[in-house]
Amino acid sequence: MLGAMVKQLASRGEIPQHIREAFRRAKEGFGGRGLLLSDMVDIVKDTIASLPRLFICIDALDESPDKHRRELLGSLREIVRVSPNTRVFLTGRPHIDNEIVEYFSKALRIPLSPAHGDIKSYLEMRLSNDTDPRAMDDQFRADVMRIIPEKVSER
Amino acid sequence: MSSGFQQITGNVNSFNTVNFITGLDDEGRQILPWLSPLEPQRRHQGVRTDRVEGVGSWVLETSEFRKWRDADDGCVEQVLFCYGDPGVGKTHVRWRVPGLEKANVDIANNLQTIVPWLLIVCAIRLGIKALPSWGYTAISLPNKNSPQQICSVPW
Repeated sequence: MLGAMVKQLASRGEIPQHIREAFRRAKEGFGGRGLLLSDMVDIVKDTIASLPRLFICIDALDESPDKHRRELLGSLREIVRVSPNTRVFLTGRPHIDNEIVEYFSKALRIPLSPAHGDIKSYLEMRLSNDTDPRAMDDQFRADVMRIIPEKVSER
Repeated sequence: MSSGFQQITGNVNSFNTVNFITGLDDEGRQILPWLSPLEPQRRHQGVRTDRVEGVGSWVLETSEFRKWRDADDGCVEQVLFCYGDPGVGKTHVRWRVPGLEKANVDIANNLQTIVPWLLIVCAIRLGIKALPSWGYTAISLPNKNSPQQICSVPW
């Protein structure tokens, strides 16, 4: 995950020298080895240090296995601690809220629930892009447009 | 700033296929897969095609979001957590900061000389299945004093 983040940063153009050096060191090692989490955290920190500001956004954090999520949150905490130019945007289901607070006690938190109009707009878009419109009729469409917004908690 | 980043920023609003690996030497081409085998842009592309203009924009007007986005380094908690139940739009709403749609490509292409801040957003989707599917985008913030000119946060 952190590797993919660095990959995005490195893909912007010239690959930073410290990443090249880490790569060469790994290649020279016995049979070459992959990066350890701690190596990767260092690479992330060094990469961020060269940027004026970095926003890291991670969606659906709750979908990660618990162990990986904790490792990731721990790594992010370390990255944030040494990189005041970094902001982190996370999304997830409510049950991981406690965990977020555990790692970032002062995190700003926004509960999300969609505006009624948002759900309808999204449904209309999905219905208009239906790949099998023959399966749809007026009644079915009306049911979709009525029932789904009802099922989603209102803002 | 190299062509790779220009290409990304130039395509924030109209990305079809972005080739990240432009202008890299042989070692660079080995380094990117070494950092991560994942290709976050593919997930991003999938999600962004399902977004609807304006949906979810209320979140961007909340004081928490604005504070997190606009405050100077060190003056605000660096972590923002948006949480909600399945289906509220954590992934598919169009997370957007007003202004980017007006950004002109010349500005985007000359970031290094005129932009004091560089902002990279990594919208990374964690996955628990065989291969995680991640999204991302890279964006620029032309001026510290006009943060509304950022844009495009794609989850």
